[in-house]
Amino acid sequence: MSESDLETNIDEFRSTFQKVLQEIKKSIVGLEEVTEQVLVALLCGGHVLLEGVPGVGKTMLVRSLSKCLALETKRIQFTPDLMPADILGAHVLIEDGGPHVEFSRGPVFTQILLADEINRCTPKTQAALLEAMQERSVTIGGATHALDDLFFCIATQNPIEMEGTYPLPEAQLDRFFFKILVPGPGLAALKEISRKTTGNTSAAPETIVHASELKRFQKLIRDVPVPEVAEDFAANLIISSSPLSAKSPSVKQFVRYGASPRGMQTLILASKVMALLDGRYCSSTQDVFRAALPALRHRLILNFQAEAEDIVADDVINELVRELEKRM
Amino acid sequence: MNRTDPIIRSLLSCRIALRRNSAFESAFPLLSYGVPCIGALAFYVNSSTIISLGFLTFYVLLISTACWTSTGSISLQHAASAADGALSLNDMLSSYLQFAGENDPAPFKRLHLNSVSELFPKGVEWRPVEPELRRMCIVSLAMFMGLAAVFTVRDATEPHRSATDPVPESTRVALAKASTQLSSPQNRELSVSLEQFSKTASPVTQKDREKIIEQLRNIQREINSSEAEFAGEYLSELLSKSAQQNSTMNAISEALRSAQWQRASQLARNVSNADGRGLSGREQEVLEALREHHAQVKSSEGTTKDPEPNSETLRRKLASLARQYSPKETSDMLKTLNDVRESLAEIGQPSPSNSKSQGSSSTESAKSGPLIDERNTTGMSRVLGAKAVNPFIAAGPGQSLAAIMDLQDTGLSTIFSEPTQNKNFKESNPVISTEVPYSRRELVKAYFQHRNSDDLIQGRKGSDE
Repeated sequence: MSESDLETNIDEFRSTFQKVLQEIKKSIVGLEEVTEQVLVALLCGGHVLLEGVPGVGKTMLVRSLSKCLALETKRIQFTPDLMPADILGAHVLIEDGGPHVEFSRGPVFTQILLADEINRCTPKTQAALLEAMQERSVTIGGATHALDDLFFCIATQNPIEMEGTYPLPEAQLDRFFFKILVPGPGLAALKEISRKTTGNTSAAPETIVHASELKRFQKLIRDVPVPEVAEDFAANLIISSSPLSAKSPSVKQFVRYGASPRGMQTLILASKVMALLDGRYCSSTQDVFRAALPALRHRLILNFQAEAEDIVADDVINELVRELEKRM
Repeated sequence: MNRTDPIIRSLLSCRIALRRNSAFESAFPLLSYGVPCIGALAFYVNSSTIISLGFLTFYVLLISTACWTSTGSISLQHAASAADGALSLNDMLSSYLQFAGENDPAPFKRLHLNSVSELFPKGVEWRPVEPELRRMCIVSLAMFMGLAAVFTVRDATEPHRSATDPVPESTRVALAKASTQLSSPQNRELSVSLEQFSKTASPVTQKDREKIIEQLRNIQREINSSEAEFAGEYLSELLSKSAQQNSTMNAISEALRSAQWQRASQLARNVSNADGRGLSGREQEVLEALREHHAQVKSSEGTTKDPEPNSETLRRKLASLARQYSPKETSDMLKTLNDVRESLAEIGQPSPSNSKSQGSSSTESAKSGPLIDERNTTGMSRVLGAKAVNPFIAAGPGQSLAAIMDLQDTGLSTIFSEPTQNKNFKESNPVISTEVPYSRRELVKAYFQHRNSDDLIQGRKGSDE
């Protein structure tokens, strides 16, 4: 690819991204940053875990996204009695044309999967998504079924209702590219929401980009170079998040397990997208820094002391980043 | 890497500036520790040494800091990162530097290189902020002024330690000379003592002066001991010929061999004229000296309680005879010992600068005095006899004479100042004589005469009281 072609591709990517954001903004108010982070995760080929109280627009965001991107979307409402077969699918006996067993695909066979309130189902069912999220395939009865290349899982969880919930295991959490906190709307956003949703007209988002283009953009992003300084920063961030090798007193005090190498991959991939969106051709430490919170907050497992002192992962990450910036 | 590239070139100059700044910033705190240390040394060594030491330390610090890893390890990458941080460039220059070093950069990297080149066609117009030189200069100036103040105070209190009046140098020369003269194996110990003294004796405070005077007394004692040994051995051999015929002479010979001067003089009294007829002229002279000494002791018994008031005189007299009549080897050794004694007496000579200051007030004169000085000390509390001129007077800064050291066994009569001991001091006390002979030989001679005189004995008695 020549430099001019590349430049054209990058410009196209940037403009498409902005258009998608604008289109989603028509139906979703006050969640620009969340939308941007969801798009970044999608472009990097990751999955996101949205955490927020009910009614802040999580499901609406997914629906708008699927419309803008013209991707097939399915929704699973996770409940305690949900079984893995309800998600993945099962072999069923078909009578027509002579009795035979046929594999009936579950809702996981889609492009965008909305796993609503994922922490309400049992760990057994939660684990059914592990292979799908990491390998983009499902193995049932010894047969492996591939998922779509663009398979993108958006899981949501409610942070306030803890009764009857099953916290996601670390292995499952680590498979999410980003954990995005969905904030409640502000005053202006609330008024805007009421204006848009209480009338007779509603602005439905239009399709901006198709799956093929998305795949092209995903490939483009992976070509973005990462300088050594940014790599050093990301690697140091991951290493110093572990209490075994940490120098930060807060990590030693409050962290039980640090981030995994998946965290490093996430930081680097996300920094590439952010660099392109920022009009640069290579990522930087600032991009890594911007990606640090959504990429690491679910990968740092805090201990009981942190919980007792009301310390959250974001506090630890922020302190870690500050210390690293001073050191480097 | 293309060093003609304007961005690389500008980063190179940034790196030089960063290294320079780092050297200054690293050296400055070390300097701020070094200067007070040098200031503290002001009271121990002379000014020229301190100044040389100071400059040497300063340059060593600068050079070592510049070569230090912290400075040397500032690479082009560091300069690029610093520029990125200062200009908020999101690692643009760092990545530029990295990609520019690659042989065949990927299209993305080429795009990045082009975009940075377009952004900075003339190179990065950024230079690291120079260390706050004004503040550093002010602090340095304050430190050096403080150092100068320390020198001023030091020179005001101890002017002989200043670079312009290095009194110990002449002292050292005299002592080194004496040390060389005594290089024979018998006097090895004495020679070593003198050599060590010549290297280490550098009085600064009154306490040092007293310490050095004590050292000199010890050395003098060693000289006297050596002299007595040589003289006694020779005289014993001289008298041993007659000792074969006479038991008294035998006893005298043995007493002289063991340097028992008093016993020898008592025995000499018993040698009758008839016994002495067969003796040679030299032997007769020795016997005569012993008899005379005995007579003097007898006559002074009523006036002094000291059991051996003048054994030192007898020793010197016998040493003089031995020097005169002994074989060349012994004679040379005894002469050398005598010369050393004179060299030590030379230490007490006033320096030219001090001679000039004789006319000034006694306080100033005392301040600029050498280690052991003879001086016109007006206000002297101790009344000395007219003959009691002592070449070894070491007065401290503005202090008056207070005590006479008991130097019966050393031959050094040192009077030094010690105001706290000067309880009998009265301004109204008359000063009978403070005149000092100029010639060194005269001084030494006068000193010995003074030692033998009853006036000094009386004076010492007075001080003991």
